[in-house]
This record gives sequence, C-alpha cells and structure tokens, in this order.
Amino acid sequence: MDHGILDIYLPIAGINFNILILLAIGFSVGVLGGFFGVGGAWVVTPALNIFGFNMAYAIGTDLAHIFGKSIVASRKHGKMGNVDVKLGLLSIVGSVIGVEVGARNVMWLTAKGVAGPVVRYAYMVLLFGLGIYMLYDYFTKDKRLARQRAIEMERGPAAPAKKKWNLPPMVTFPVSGVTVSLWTVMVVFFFTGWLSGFLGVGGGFIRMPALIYLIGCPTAIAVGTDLFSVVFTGAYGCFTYALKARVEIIAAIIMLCGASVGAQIGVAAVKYIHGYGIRLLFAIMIILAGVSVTMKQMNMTTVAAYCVMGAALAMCLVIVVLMIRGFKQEKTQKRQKSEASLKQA
Amino acid sequence: MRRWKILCFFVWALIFQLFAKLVAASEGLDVPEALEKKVPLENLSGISLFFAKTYNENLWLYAIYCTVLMATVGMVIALGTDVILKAIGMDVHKIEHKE
Repeated sequence: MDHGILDIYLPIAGINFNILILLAIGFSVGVLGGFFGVGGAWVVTPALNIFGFNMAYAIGTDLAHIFGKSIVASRKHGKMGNVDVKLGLLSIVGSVIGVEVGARNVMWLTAKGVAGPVVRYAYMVLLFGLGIYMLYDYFTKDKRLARQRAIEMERGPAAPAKKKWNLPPMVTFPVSGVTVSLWTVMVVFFFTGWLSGFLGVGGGFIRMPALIYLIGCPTAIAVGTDLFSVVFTGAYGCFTYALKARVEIIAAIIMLCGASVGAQIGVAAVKYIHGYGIRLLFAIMIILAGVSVTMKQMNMTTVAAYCVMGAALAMCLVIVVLMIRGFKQEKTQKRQKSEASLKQA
Repeated sequence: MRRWKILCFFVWALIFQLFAKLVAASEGLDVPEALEKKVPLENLSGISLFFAKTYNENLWLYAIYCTVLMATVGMVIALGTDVILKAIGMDVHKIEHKE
C-alpha cells in the first residue's frame, strides 16, 4: 500500500492504512447497524480484507469495533424505547447454547471434509429464503389487512389471536407487548444461535427477523433488542479475539469513531421510517448479501466483496436520504403547528 | 400445572448440564492459539508503542485493554453525541411503534 498523507501505521497488523477508508467503512456499517440492528461483520470483514488487512486481523478488529458501536446504538435505541432488556438477556442465554452446538456441528462437518460447501449453501438458502419471505410479507401486507378488516366488518372485532403453543411457563415482555411461552423464546434463540454458530456469523441478521416473525416484536423493538444482544456478543468477541492476538486496536478505535456517527444516523432513521419500510430495506440488503455469497461460491471472491460493499454503501445512502427527508418533514410540521397556534392566539 | 413445573425444572437442569459439558469440552479442544509474531517496537512512539508493547508482553492485559477501551470510547461517544444532537435539535425521545 502507498504511504499517502492520510496513511497511518498499524503496528499489530503491520500495515499502513488510510484513515479515511477506516472512517468510511466504520460510518457505513454504523448506519446499517443502527438502522437494522445488526453488527455488520458481513460487510466490514471483506472490506478490510480487500484494502489489505490479513483476514485473521480483519475479523478480530471488526468484532472489537462492533462492540463499541453497539453500545452507542443501543443506548440511543434505549432512549427511543426500542430495547426490551428482558428479551435481550434471554436471547443471550439461548444463543450461547445454540452457538456452541452449531460450532460443534461445523467441526463434525470439517472432519468429514464438507464443511465449506455445506455452510456456504446453507448461508445462501437462509439469505435468499429470508429475503424473499420478507419481500413477500411486505408486498402482501395490504391484502392481508384488507382481508382482516373484511372479516371484522362481517363478524365484529376479532378476539386476540390465541397462542398456538402455550406451554408453561409463560413470559410477558411488557416493552414488546407480547406474552409467549418461555420454551418458544428459548427454542427460537437456540435456533438463531445455532445458525450463527453454524454459519460463523454474529447472528444479528438472523435474530432481527426472528424477533419480528417468531416472537412477535414490533420492528423497531426487534432492531433495538437485537443491538442490545450484540453488545454482549461483541464484548465476548472483542475479548476472545484480542486474547488470540487478532485485534488491531488502533484501527478498531478509528472505525468506531466513524461507526458512532453512522450509528446515530441509522438509529435516528428508525424514527422516520416505519416498521414495514425497515423490513423492505432489510430484505433487499440480505438478498444482495446472498448474491455476494453466491459469487464467493463461484470463486469470484473480490467481486463478491465489492458487491457486498457496494450494496452496503448504496443502502447507507438510501437510509441517509430517507432520514433527511423525514427530519425536514418533521421540522415543517412543527413550524406549521407553531404558526397555527400563533394565529389562534 | 405442578407436573409442568416439575418437567420444566428437569429440562432446565438438563440444558444447564449440557451447557456445562459443552463448555468443559470446548476448553479441551479450542486452546487459544496466540500468534507467535512479535511486533517490532522500533520507530513506534506514543499510544502505538504502548499497545504494541502490551501485545508483545501480555496478551491477557492486551485483551482487557481492548475490551475496556472499546466500551469506554463507545460510552464517551454515545454521551458526547447526545449533547451535540440535543444542541442541534435532533434529540430523540420515546417513539410510537408503527408497523
């Protein structure tokens, strides 16, 4: 790498790296993380790798910055009432067991010599399956709502849906407004943990839709609660990778500065973009991530990394534009309100 | 109801036992492989020298520094940006959850 004016020497990784690139990577993943409630390792790790980081350092440094960023983002989500602490803590218990079992399954597959393709195909199925389901859910929401209204008109207000599986003990999550069997919660988090252990990913992008579709959380609470869980998994990841000598702390701090600004924007955008809007953007993002994994499977590693980075930057731009638009609309409404009240006075 | 409670208790006990076994097994299998590489300290100064030295001498301390530092920087930035955003009128409050 050239020794440019903005290059900084990173002693642990033993490379020169441009500060602006670190800030830009941090910023874009901060926006995505704050908005979708994910860590964003699937963007940062290939990005760092493309620009010259050794893969081992890329993963560790990424996890360290995710830890710091998730503190910033979950604090802000907490202020907006989007964090269900009880659910978040339970998710950690279930996920830890799941991750361990998933990791062990991968070890077994590695011993059989088929881990690589099995994991990658599972990853592709998951990303495309989840993305397509969320798109379907988005485009059929009006139809479902109309059907529900027609039924209500015909038979009167519908009674709250009966839980399909109400095996005791039942747990109430007042913040999310749901009451579910503890077993459902544990099974869901065990499954998401298993997937993240099996696929070798942080699991934020699996937990967020699981919280919405399987537990029944509102979208904004799913985002905030997922980020709250990422604080703990990120802390563990940061510590364990640093212990394995794989964290470039100076790069992590610079990225954290960019990510913190990005996270503020991402979280603020949740205020202006409602639940289904978040789901639509998330669906598009994970389908693009799926395309990137498919390319990787076809040995187009560099193209795949550029694809996921390009998708992340484009999505980042969309979120920033939507946030600015929402902010302007809110300001105009406030001004109109104050003008109207002045006229009345 | 009582039968359910007893069943739940046994299943939870089983899960915790399984978890303890998995942790014990993983301790034997996944021994952290510290990189043998040592960072050259020549031409380093200030914070880079401090981190590189700690990295070379004590990885446990390095891991603690990394974790604590990231948490501290995260908290400081979170509090700092709160003040800045409040000043420019972008402070956030509890929102209504619309789908």
